[in-house]
Amino acid sequence: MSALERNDMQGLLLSAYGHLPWSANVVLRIDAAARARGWLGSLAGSVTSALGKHRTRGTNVALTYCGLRALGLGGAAGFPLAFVDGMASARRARLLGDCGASAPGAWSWGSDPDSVHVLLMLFADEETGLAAALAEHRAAFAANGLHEIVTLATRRHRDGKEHFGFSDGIAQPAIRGERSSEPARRRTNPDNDVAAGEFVLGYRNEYGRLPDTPAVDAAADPGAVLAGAGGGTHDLGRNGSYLVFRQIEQDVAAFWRFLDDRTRGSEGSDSAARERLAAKFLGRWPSGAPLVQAPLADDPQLAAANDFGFAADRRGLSCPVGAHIRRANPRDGFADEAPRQSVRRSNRHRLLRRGRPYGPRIANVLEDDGASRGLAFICLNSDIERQFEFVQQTWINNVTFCGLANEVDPLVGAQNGSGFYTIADDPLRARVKGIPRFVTTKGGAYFFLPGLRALRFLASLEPVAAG
Amino acid sequence: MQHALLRGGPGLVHTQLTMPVRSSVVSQRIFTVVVKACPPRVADLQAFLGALDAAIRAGTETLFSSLEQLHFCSFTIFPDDQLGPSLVFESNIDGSLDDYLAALCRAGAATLHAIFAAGCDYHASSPQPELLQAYLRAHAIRPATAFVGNVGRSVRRIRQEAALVARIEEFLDELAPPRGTAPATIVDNVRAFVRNDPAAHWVWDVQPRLTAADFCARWFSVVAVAAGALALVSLGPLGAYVVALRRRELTDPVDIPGPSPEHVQALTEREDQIVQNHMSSLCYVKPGAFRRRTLKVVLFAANLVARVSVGGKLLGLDSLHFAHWALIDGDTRLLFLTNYDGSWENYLDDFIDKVAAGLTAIWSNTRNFPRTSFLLLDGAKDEKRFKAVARTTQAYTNVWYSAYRGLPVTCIEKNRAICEGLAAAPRTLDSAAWLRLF
Repeated sequence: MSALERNDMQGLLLSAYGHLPWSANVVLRIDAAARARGWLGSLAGSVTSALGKHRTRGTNVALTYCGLRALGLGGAAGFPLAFVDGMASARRARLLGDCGASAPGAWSWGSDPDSVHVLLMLFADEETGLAAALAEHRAAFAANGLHEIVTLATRRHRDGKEHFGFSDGIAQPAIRGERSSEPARRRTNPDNDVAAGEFVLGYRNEYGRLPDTPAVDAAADPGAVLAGAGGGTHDLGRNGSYLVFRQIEQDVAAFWRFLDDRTRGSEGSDSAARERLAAKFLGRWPSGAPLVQAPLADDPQLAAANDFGFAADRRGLSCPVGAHIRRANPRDGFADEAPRQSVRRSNRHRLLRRGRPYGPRIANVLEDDGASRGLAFICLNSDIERQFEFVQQTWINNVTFCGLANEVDPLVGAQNGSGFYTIADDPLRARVKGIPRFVTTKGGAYFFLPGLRALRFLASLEPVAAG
Repeated sequence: MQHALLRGGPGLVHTQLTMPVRSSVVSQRIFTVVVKACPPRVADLQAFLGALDAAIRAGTETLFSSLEQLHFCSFTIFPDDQLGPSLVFESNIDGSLDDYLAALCRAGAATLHAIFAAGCDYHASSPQPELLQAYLRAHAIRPATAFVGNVGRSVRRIRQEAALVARIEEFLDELAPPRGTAPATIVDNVRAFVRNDPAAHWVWDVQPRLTAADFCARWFSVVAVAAGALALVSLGPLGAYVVALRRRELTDPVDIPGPSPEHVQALTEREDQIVQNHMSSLCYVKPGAFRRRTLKVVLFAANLVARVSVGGKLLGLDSLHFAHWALIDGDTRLLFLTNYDGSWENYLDDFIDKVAAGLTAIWSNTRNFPRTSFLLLDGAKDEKRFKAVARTTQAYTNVWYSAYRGLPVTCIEKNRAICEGLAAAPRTLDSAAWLRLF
């Protein structure tokens, strides 16, 4: 297997920039192609690659299909249908569970796919550094034919927790054969190693094949900025990836109040029971300790534990079969398969997660303060349909996941208020009924995260006739 | 003629059927009709089928939902540049074909007349049930391989069981037995609850879907047929066969332009509306006797495997309600129709993960299938190309009806096990295991 061409890859692919906790996601529309190309060209020089470590700042950039067209890319073949469709299309919305309050029509941005072209991601070590970077960029948007649609300021908190109060981002796949910035203790599980081609175009995937890649006519790239791809084409996809960005609003008070209501005893609220039920929903305790290793109580010693499977807890007596972490990554737990096969199957649907929380933390989880908060969900994959959409449709929102019936992910699923949640127990399961939707999609788009050569190529595009 | 048409069902899978009055075990069969459609009439046909499908989606359709033995049915128009358009009508039914056709043609004479008026050789001037029956029988095709997921479960029983299990679940929620309650005590409570349910009297008569004798008979017939087939069908010396196969595997053209985005768009538009999905696919068998014969032998073998797969699973695939393959148009084309659970992506991935060899052995004998080795290897493992061929050969299902839109195979199997447990003698039931079904 060939080593990764780190110098041609954007840094986000190999790092979550844990050392740069302050960040902003700036969504832009291109109003003037030529000036925007010039902007992209100068940005390309300062984009953070996967090679070096930028101690104080990070900059990465991605484009939607409409964005590529707006930039002047005419004849590129090989972009997948999901990417061309865009996240807001009716078909995509249905399979992602974006219905009701989460329907694209109700989004605060992104429902018109041609209004979302560029995602600029800025990272900094200090709040002031981020503010300075943001101000610098903002000053240049108008002159470069760019219009700011929305900016989501995000922050990785020291405790690594998201707004519901749980440690997030623990289970990351590791790229097989690559060193990574992930802490070594999280890399003890060989089941977690996944082929590079699952995340980066140009490398073999879990099927041992090269992922489909977008290519342009060699004639469109006379300077041979891109690598050759055979058949008179040049490879636009190489060292790139597809980036899924979703603004997921979390109703923290609704979540904890619902749990409080279902665990109230004669004495009123029971915070321990409430937390226990929350852990049963999620599959981990607030510290991150997994239920399969800490079935009875939270254990901060296991906070970063990722070296576990579900095969030993097939019935879900410790961690219910429908718990969020089992749906998001079933590991070795498919009941109908040997653990080894089950892991291989799960690993064809993994995501590199790069999301961070936005909005202020809530002071009292039982009291709605009216503030807007949630997760700026970002993930990277090389096949949107087989990875992100599959996880969303076939695992998270599948009412028949692993033999269950009539229930979806209790935490992030497309609940309609009539769903159940089954908690296995002896002699009889318990069922939580009437679960409302705790999260709402507020906006989103599918982006292409180009390699650095591809960025330079896009910046140097010859103007083409519109159409 | 009658005899030949009875074979129009999945020949090997089901023999003569009777419906015992008390027994809950009813056999299922697949009945499929293929007719050549007259090109000038296709546009009208499409419009008519579109309206019918819209009525099904809106819940206002009255014909199919009135047929108590109908699990799924579909109408698909397959366009083709060389052979002209074909109209395929598929029914997955309970019990006797005679009963079904009589009921269908009686209640649906006007609808069927309007549809099959597009057939090149349909000459009735007005809706006549007898003529329609004869027409359908005359165009019935014989599935080479057929699989039924929920063996022995009639539409009626599937619905009854689902409703009863939902009531029991509610009862158990109310009961909320404290930890440490003896499982047998809980089961006794459930039995008492069900006994008081006037709508559940049938449950005490529920039989295991296959008696030991049935099961042995299936295996015995498989072994006997396989032995006989081996004696009869000769591919010549195995070595020579493998050499000939390898030569073809290395040289067969593989030209996959890929499905057009518009085609995939149209297919996906109608998918994932309910728990189940439908897939209609038709592709050309590679030219020459070698591939045709190989395909026939493979389909024959696959049918034997399907015949003894009675646990709701086909080689680990637990998402298939019904599926069948048939050679049509003088064995030049392979038809595949299936009703399955979950997303298309998941279905195809499941196929690749669990039955890639079987798939490859079948479809590698059709045009443009990804390259294979020794009939069973590679092929479907070329995930992207395999999916591209699958989408290319798939046609838009014009009409699709499901009798139980919210129930996956696994759920029907679970409900079956719960009801069989209730009907079993209390002494023989493992109460703890039974409670784990919930």
